[in-house]
Amino acid sequence: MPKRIALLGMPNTGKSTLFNRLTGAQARTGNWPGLTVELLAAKLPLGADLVELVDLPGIYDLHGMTEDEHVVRRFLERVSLDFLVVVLNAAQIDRQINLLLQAKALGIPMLAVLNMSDEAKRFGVTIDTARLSAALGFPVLEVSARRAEGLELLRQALTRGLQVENPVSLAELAQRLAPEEIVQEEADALLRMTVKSPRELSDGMSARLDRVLLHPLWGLPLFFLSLLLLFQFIFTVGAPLQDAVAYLLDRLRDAIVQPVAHVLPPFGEGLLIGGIYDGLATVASFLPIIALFFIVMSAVEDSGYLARAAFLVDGFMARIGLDGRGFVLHLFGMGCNVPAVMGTRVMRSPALRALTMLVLPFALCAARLQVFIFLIAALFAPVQAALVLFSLYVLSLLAAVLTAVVFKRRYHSVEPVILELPPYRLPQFGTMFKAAWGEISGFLQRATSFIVIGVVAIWLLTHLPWGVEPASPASFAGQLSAAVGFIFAPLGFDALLGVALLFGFIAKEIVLGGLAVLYSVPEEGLTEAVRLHMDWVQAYSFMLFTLLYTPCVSTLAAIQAEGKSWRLTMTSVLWSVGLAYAVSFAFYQTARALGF
Amino acid sequence: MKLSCLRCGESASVTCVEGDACLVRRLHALGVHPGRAVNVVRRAAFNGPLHLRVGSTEFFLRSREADAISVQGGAA
Repeated sequence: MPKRIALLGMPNTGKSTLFNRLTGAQARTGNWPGLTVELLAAKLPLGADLVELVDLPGIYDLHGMTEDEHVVRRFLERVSLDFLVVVLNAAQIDRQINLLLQAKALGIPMLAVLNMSDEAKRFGVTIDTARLSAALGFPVLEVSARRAEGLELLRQALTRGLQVENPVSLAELAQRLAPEEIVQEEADALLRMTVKSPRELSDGMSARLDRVLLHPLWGLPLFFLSLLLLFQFIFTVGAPLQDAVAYLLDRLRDAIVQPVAHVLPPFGEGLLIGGIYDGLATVASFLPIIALFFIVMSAVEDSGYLARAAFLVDGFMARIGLDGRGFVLHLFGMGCNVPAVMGTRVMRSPALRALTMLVLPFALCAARLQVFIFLIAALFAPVQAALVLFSLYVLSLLAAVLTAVVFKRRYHSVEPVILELPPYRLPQFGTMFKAAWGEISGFLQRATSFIVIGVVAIWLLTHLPWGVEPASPASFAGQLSAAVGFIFAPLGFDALLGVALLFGFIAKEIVLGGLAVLYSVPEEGLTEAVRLHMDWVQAYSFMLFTLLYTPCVSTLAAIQAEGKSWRLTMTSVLWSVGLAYAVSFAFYQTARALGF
Repeated sequence: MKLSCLRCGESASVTCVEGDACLVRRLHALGVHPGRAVNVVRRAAFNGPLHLRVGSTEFFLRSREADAISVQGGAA
């Protein structure tokens, strides 16, 4: 049984950066008995031993009432621990020392890490660590996780600390975790003794940036302008990369996969090449764009600008019954809706969570983005491309606002809204790429099986019954599209597009792979096929529908798991399908009536 | 007086924090408790939230939550 160390700390202390620095890249999420959420854990070599290091969620208060604070308490009550590391933001020791004292009261062997010691110097805060350590009775170490400073000393201190047996049983711990009165005197006395800080604490650079970026008039326009620029950047850099990957995958198919598959009977060969390989290749060629998106997103998050975005929009969000956090989650939802829906756990009010969960599926996720990028590249001039994409982002926000306004009376809440505004920090390349890699592997794990099943199902529908002309009216797909065609005709879709949309419900990634199979063309021929089958009005109508119609199966599963209400889940499906149909119908009919 | 009476840029000393227990605990964890100086940095557009600074910590909260905080003017 390896020894176990837990990392405890407030949000914005750089706890996760420290965790990554200590353990390298091989962290995994683990399930813990009695806990509904997954916590990150990794093996950490210490001296001759291999120790398990667990990263607990960031919390403000060991006796607090948020979901994360419950999680930490349940973890401490149920999982036996050998050592506790409390991470503090050194610049904010004036208030974070309270959590340290709460942790000390537990009696588990521990040490304190004063992280961001470089930032504390910038603020002019100096801490007498030797005196603090003597007063507290455990080691206090200055570390900068971002600059990898002080880590070796930390490892040595941990190795020494683990030699002492943890004397506290789980039952005793449960008792000590019971709510208590806040004791401020002890903290104040310690601070007076060990900490020197200037009277007016402000990091000049952040204050100057805030004067511009949080300006009452220009703040919001600047925010939307930077979003537009970021999308332009992703598009400009991503498109050539995407072409390169598609080219390589075609080469690979012609050189290796095709000859190998040729040993199969024609039906099997077709299924393997035309179904599985082409479908997967289409999806794979979008990985560069998704990676870029997450690199950019994590940079914005790291920089501290995301919390500022929440500040800027909170006044508006309050009016539609949501809050600034909902807006930030919406931005995360632009990667994938599933983690965003799970992120609503930071909200305590069930009504606010329900309303936020109804809104989040309208966030234009990476899966939909991939469909749009393809269609836009195929049917619009390069100068229009970024604008068309931007219009879809604007529409997704409008749909979210409309949803909130329609449902805010039913899901009404009065939850307090308090959010920290950390100082601006330069994003770090390591963190950015790690975040991108984590999201991509997560995306592949979640999506791959869905995509393969979906694409194979579509291939079978277009090639069965036995011996039919692929995707002809006689095939199952042809029959299905004839049956549903009348539904989609007023939206301007050809019947096969309707079938691709039906499958897109499983995962929106399938829409493109499905189109390639339905038009029975390989990846590089899809652009031509699409140009042949639709004009820009039809394409835009199709994109509107794809943008709005029903959350994918994974998102719905998350909504059901988090909200535990079939009524909420069904509302989400019916409302979004209805909205998608109405919007596509209105756009297509209006555009045609105007003569486009 | 209430914190929300302060103008942007003004500082005051906290005299009392009362209201929902959860709100009081959270504010305390952010450093808002009697005796501490609070600085109202700015207010967001559309009657939006207040941007506060307490020590080296900055955060925002809505006017309704800010009403839980009573301050004594003039102190720094």
